Amino acid sequence: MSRETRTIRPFVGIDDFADVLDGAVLYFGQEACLASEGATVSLSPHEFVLRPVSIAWGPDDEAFERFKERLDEGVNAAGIAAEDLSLVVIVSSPFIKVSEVVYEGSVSDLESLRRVTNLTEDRRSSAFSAPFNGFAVDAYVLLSRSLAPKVLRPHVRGTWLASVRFRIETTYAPAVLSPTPLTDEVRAQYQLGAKTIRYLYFGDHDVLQPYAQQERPVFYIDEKLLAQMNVRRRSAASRALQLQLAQDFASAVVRRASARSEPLDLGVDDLRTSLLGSVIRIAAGPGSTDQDRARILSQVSESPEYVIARTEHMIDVGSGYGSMLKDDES
Amino acid sequence: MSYRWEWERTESGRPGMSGDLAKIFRHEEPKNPGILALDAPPAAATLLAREVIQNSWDAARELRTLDPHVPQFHIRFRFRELIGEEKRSLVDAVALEGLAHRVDAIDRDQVGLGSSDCLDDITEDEEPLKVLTITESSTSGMYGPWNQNRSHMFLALLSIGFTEKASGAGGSYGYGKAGLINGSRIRSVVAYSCFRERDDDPGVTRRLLGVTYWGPHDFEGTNHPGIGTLSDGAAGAILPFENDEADEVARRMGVDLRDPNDPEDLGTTFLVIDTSVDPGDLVRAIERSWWPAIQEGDFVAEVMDVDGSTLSPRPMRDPVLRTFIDCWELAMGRSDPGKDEWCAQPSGPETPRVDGKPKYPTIGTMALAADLSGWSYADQAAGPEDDGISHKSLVALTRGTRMVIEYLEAGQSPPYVRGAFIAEPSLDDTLRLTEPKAHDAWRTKAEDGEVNPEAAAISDHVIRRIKQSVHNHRNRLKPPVPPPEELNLPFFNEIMRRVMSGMGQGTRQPVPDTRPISIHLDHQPRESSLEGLIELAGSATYGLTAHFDGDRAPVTLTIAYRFIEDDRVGEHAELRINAPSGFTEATPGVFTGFIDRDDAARFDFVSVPYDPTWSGRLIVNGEIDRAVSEEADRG
Repeated sequence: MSRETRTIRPFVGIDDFADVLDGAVLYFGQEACLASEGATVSLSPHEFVLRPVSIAWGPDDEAFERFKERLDEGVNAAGIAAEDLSLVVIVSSPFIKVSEVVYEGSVSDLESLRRVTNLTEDRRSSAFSAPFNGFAVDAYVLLSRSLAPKVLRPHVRGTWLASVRFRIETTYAPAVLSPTPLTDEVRAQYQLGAKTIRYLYFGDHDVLQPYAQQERPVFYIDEKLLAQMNVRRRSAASRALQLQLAQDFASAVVRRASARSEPLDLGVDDLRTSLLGSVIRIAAGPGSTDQDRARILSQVSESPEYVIARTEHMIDVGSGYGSMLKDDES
Repeated sequence: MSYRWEWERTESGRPGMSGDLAKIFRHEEPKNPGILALDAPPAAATLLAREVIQNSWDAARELRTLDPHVPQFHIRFRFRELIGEEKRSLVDAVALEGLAHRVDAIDRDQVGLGSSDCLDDITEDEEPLKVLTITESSTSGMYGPWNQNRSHMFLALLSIGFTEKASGAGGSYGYGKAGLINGSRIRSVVAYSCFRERDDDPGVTRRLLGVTYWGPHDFEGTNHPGIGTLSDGAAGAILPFENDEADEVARRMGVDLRDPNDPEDLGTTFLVIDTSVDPGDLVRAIERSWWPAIQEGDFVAEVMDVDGSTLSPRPMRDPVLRTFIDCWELAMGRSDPGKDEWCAQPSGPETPRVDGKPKYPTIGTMALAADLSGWSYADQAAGPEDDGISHKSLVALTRGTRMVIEYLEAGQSPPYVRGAFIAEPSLDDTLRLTEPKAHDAWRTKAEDGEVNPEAAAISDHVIRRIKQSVHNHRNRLKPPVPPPEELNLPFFNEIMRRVMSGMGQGTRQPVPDTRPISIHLDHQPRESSLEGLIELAGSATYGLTAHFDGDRAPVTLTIAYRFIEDDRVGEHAELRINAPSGFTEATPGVFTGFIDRDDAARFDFVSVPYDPTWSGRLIVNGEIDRAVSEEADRG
């Protein structure tokens, strides 16, 4: 299936702003996170809260100068005074429910803007200090005051003309979808055979809807197998099995979505916080564009096996089996 | 009277020594581990600060042993840039034109000189000549009868490898001159020394000798080992200027005269010609190497810049050195360990034993500190514009001389700690025996025969105990690890976190575009005829791509426009769609028909008027109707 989606905002004349922030880079310490991408860090909570956060408006001096030029050009094209526009950076942590402006500067004062703006220098927002859940940083070019109302022209204070989002995730997050022992009682409850070793129960969970706002799926794994995996958690076999279980989970999400007709009406933006959105990001891989993800989404209905094969590459199931077989030989 | 440089000749049957002593340290860059790599002083400044002060400090301690009432040891580094008459006078006094004449006839690189120096323009009065005068006071001076190897001037300036110093001294090899030589671009040094008269050297209290240290070279048909001297003697019969004549030469060189009856005048003045060292670098080098002695008030060191301003080493101003100094104060027992600090006397080696007990019950005193909100996690505190420092746990090793032997690397992962170690006085001589010529380590192996095996074994124990103490302290500082029973498949949790956050491993695989139908969109919101409302108007044009095998395809095409609510698509906005002929609208927004390869299908659409603050999402799909296609194939 071929598919194109476009987000239509009720404005004209602001196209020059659309991707002006796309070259920005968020730095978490020295870890770089590119625009519209995420970075996952493995840090102790103490280390996490010490890391400074800064945003580079361009990856180098040349790009930074180009960024400022494009802002100037956008201002002229939109017919909005530079004094009425601000560069604003907001950090948010859904976990501790805090969103805070951590930088604001007028577009009319680009001379004083440095290529790298430290977002934690004077004060560290509590949203930056959620070591188990990470945070998101949104940068905007937005109206800093309301203008005279005019149709098809941004005029309400706070309306953004360009935006970009960065996400910092952490591997220290509490266990996500921990395996639940599959006991004889559970087998009886779901009418599963005695030799069933895994069962992903979605219940009412909708893989197309935001994950956090619903009842969560339950990932059952045979209790004896789970105990063996736990005892030999560092063995090659245990690790291979754990990789395979993660792949099974991703496969189940893809298959469940492929059986639905709704993906036809949804874009990757709509699915961002859903299980399917996560699996699509995995399948598209690091550094993928929204267009890549849209292509993967269109394959969910048409060729779910292809999407599953891509997740297998990204989860790197093969490395687990390879190590296990080598161990077996030796 | 004018003086001239006399050059030793290479003679078979006599031992020779190359004058290029600067090369002794040429490949031994000072160690600046971890954070000390930041703003590290150049090697020449470090060498000068360590070697020269160490030799002078040894001499001062020797004098103090003989006469406890002498004034405090003081060393002053005075930088000058001479021009005009001052320059001409010094050039004459040190016979620099003679050196310039000689260097024109030899290979600079061969003798260890750089490509340019003051000899290039020695006759140009207005071209500044940089001179460093090092004046020590209240030291024993370079005493000793010249005609025997007991002459300290001989040992310090003309010998190498057989200096014997008093127990506990810093220098032990006579390599100290390399610090001076490296500080001179033309490798020329003058020493004017004043000492008390001694029975074995009657009638002499001052001596002056200039030495130029170049590598072996041929000059006017003769081979020379590279040692040139400015003395009262001649080649093969070097004889320093003595007493009044030494004073006269010193005066002509612009050096303050010394009075052997004034204890403060006892000591040596060095003239380093055409110095390559920067005053600021020298101050930093002194601070880094000598903060324990400065902190204890052992001596006063000062640096005078070319403008006459005085730059005093103040290690406490340096936030990095300050952490080591705080540890020093802890180790000295002047403050109590704070929350993240530690201070103890690690035990000594089991052997050697005396009366059945270890000879060295302790290796010394050691204190460690951390800053868990700052530099202990320096990697985390670093931002994108920080230098790429490889942070480490560091311990400043010191012994009786109170020079920092080295900043020992004692851990490469956070939390980093810093510390100071003060060696047990009874171990001083043993540890000194393990030091290399730069006195910048305690060697732990005796394999190369340079280090006494017993000393190496003790040094090994000392270094191990220091590192173990650092390791233990870092473990105390680390956040507690959850008990093992609570770790439930951490690897699985990590994989699942990646899955749930959409962060895969591995490399990006391109997502191929195999779509059989191309879609081109052209759209724009516009004002509606209904006042205050807007509408979306545009077109979607479908065609067949190279991924479809055939010239005509049955298709199902969908065009939808939905408003965005809470960041997700919500209610449908009604579209009026004008389809090309041949297409049938199966349900609202869904059309079936055929696309021909040479005839793209264009659908024009316009939405119903809507609120001018709303955003929407245009979703356009195109799908080959496989069932119809296969049926047609069969037909």
